[in-house]
Amino acid sequence: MVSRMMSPVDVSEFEQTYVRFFAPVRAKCLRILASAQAADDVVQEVFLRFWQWPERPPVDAPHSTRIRLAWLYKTSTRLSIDALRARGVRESFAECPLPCAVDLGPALVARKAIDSLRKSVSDDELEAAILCRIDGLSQPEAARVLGISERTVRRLLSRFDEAACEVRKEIAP
Amino acid sequence: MIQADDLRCSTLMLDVHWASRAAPDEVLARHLSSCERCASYLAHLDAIAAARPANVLALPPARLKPSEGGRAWREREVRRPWAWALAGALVLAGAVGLVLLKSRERASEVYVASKGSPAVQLIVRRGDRSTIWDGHAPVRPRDVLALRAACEGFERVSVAAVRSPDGVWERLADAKCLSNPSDPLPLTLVVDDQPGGEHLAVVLSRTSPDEATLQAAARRTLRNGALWTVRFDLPKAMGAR
Repeated sequence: MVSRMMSPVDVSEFEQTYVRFFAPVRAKCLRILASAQAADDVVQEVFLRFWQWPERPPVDAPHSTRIRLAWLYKTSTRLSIDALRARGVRESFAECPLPCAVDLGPALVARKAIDSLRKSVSDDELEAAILCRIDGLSQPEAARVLGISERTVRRLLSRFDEAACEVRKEIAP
Repeated sequence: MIQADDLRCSTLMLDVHWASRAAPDEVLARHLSSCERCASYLAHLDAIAAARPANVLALPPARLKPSEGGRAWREREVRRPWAWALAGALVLAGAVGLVLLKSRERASEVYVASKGSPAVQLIVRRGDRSTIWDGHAPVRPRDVLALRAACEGFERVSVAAVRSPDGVWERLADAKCLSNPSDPLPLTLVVDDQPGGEHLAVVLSRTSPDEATLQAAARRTLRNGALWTVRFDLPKAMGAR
């Protein structure tokens, strides 16, 4: 039986979306996964899901880029967490450029902590940590991406930081 | 008011700027001219974009096992009442569009395809517009149809169509899987103006199926370790284009 598939997609929309968002999504996956192959797998999955997203705004809608990217951020973060949990600890981190909102020290701690704690802390905490510590999103930005309140973001980060305490001691005794 | 020196850019902020392709506002422009880290990040995005796979769907190599297929397609003339006209690969190059048909029931509501699953794409070109068939929309006379197939371990791809009214499936093409699954199959089908729906079957297989096997696969949409079949049952609208 032929599986049901996505609604008709204007090819030009597909092309525009892919051209516009491939690089940010792949960069994000590389930051988390530090593996080109793993990142490519997740990127593929993210875009496949994107076409299953029934409420995606039209390309030319107001704030379409921001809304689409927020959705892509959320989805790629969650899929990357799944990928991280499915494989062993990374031996090294990708040398990805990070913009100025990312504090490099906390980012390093977060990366190591995410590797160490990926199976013991909740998805929510990992998502908040990735967005705020590695991607450098402000708490309001992360709240919008995740669709939760800023207060919840703060709570999740606080829990993650508690769990990451030991890792922090290892890095900076 | 935020000054350029006070601005701290997250990846999301820069991604939005990069993807919007718009000129930055004054504050961001001044910030980018002086912030080495943010400039490096944008250059990083440029480099990734420059290395982006050329094809639109861009199934990554890790997801799709390439075969050593060639393009030795055996094409046949198909006459009415089906009257699918076969054209060459050059015509097909213009018929762009895509969608994935998953090979198996979806594991969840959100996944489109599972890793390792074969996939077939049906593209409908009408006038100057190519769209992906949604499983329901009727085709119209003179619509041009194209296919893509990600064989995922299968070696051969066969395309068959029903010859009404006797219901016999006719093999339209049979060849090795293409090495690049994003390439459309070098086969185009033009919908005729005869009433009645159109029926198309794509059979992926280890070895080229004999006639009886092809008939059975197409009729019953067989899927097993040796065969994997996708049926496209296309309603046809005879109204004005």
